[in-house]
Amino acid sequence: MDLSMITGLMTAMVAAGTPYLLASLGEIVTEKGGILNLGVEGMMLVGAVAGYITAVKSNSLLLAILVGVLAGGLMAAIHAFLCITLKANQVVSGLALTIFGTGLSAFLGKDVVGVVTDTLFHNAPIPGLRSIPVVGEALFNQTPLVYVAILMVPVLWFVLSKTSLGMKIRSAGENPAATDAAGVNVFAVQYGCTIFGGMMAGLAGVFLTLAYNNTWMENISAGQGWIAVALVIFARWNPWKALLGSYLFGLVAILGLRLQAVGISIPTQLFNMLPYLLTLAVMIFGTGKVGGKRSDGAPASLSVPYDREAR
Amino acid sequence: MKRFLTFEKRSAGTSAGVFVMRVLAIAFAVLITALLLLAVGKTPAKTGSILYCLFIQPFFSDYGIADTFKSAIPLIILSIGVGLAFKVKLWNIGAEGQMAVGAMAAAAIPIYFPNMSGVPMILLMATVSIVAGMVWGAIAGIPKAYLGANETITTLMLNYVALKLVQALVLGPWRDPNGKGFPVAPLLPKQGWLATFGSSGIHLGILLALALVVIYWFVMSRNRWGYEIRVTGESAKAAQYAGINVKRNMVLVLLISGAICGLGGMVELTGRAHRLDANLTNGMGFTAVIIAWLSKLNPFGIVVMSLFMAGLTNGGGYAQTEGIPGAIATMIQGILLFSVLGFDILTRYKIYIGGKVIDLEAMGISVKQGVSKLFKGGKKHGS
Repeated sequence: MDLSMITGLMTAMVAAGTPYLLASLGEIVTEKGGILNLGVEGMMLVGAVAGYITAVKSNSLLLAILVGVLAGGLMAAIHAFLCITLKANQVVSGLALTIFGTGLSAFLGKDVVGVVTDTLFHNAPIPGLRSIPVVGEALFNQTPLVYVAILMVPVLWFVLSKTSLGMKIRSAGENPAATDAAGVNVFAVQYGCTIFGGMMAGLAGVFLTLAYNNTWMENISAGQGWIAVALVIFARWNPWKALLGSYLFGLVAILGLRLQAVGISIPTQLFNMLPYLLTLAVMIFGTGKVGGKRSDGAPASLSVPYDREAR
Repeated sequence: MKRFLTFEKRSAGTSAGVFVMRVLAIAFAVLITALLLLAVGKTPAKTGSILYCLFIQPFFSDYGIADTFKSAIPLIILSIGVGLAFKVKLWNIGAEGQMAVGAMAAAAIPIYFPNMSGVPMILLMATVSIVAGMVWGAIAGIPKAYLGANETITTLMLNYVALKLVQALVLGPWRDPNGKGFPVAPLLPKQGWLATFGSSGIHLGILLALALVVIYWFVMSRNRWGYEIRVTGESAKAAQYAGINVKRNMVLVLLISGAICGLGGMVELTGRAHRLDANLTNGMGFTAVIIAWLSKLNPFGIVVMSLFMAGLTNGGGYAQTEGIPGAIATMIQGILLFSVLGFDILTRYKIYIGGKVIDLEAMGISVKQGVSKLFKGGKKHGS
């Protein structure tokens, strides 16, 4: 393997890891606020198709991003209404969201399957930074959404751990009753976090159709939203670890193709299993309770509906 | 401080209340579907015929009814499987994968032992499908019980692993050379097909499905282990204090749950599909999760909801003739689930809106009284 091959591999890794990163960052915020949303896959698909349709019809990339993000946010709003206002079961609601999103995106996208558009993201190399050997090309000669994803990492880390808003979010996820008593509007915080998570998933979807696959097809995310959910646990609700995890999963996802290219033949399907097997391994060996206590940094009230009258 | 909207916790709803809630939820879902179709520019007439395909044809036409029963068979089996796990609050959403490995294991038998006669072949296929489903359940169950690994994610990941495995097999070693280029395994030999009732296409699997329903009902309401399971589901802590081995039961439940779903794969393979391909499971594992939840884990509710969901999915197929994608059935399942989830609050809370109370129980009782009045003189209404 020479240097250019490693550069190529890393560039592909960063691009493949970006949808994971965008979606899992959103889900981190949602879960930090105490709401579990298993509908990432569905929100991603709806964001993807909404963005693509908009790009085809309006030829405006900016509008496509906006509509994709908004569509993801709207999907999350359904989940928020059911789980926060109506106190529904969050696992079932999330599952329903994925099922609904899978169907809705196929329904809406029927007319743009196979339709080509020139309204796509192009590489926007950052001068200077891209000349850093190996890493420069991989990180700084990418489409703009890759930079957005990377930038979101420190921003979200800062907001969540250093600001009073982050404090409110975290305490809503830990102890909503106490947070409420302290005068914070827990419902508003949780609505905000859930919708933000949906918007990020929508953006991940836009990335898939307009920056990565450059087309729409049914079920284009192929389980990536679910991997993003698993990544949140893998990353222990930490944006920095989500960055590492996303790229790691991105690497695994593309390795199969690359190994075939250099003549190491493994059936593609078996190699495509790897991200799922890796998630499985992480879940099995990475979430152990140490001494009977949760050591994983999970918000204490995650997925427990907050009932104000039951205080 | 008085607020516009307040919730008051109530005791668990009765069957009458739940029934009213379900009817309201389904009606609401139909309404939303209709509005959605109108919103995307379908004419009212077109919307009507699409709704007819979705909700009437599968349940009221001869062809539709037979088709609905056929499609409901695997759903009943899978829903019993995941329902068992839900009883212990284990979110096994891996029915899809467990079904796939079950079908895969069963398909291996005629490939490697093509000369077996009918009954032994089918029994062997059933056995290996149960074992395969069990293994898939164990991979999630043992780490859940002893390491606390989240079973929602593990069972879900195992779905993808199973489906990729099936894909690898039907694209590779098991590929049918006469498959006209499609990645499918060879057709099962005729002796490996489950017998059907007349020309309806409804196969023996329905007896197995109904037997499982009865066994599930018996175990849950008449059996000591079923009682342990129920207690564990209500409160794992209380179960522990009562001397119930919670971890062992968790593993056991996921093993049996996986086994049932694996068997469901074999039934679908030998009863309807007759050859293995990557689309054999076709989302049924996820539909089963919905069915189990919608029926509140009641075995007879599972039968009714399976028929309903099977009809809805088939209706999606019929609606394709109206020029909309079959995925619309998936979308409506989602809407229906949202609707039921939303209305479910009525069974758990009394709601006060601006001073007015919405009490499902009262509605349920008045409906019940109305119904009994209609059938006055007939047999009494039990619950």
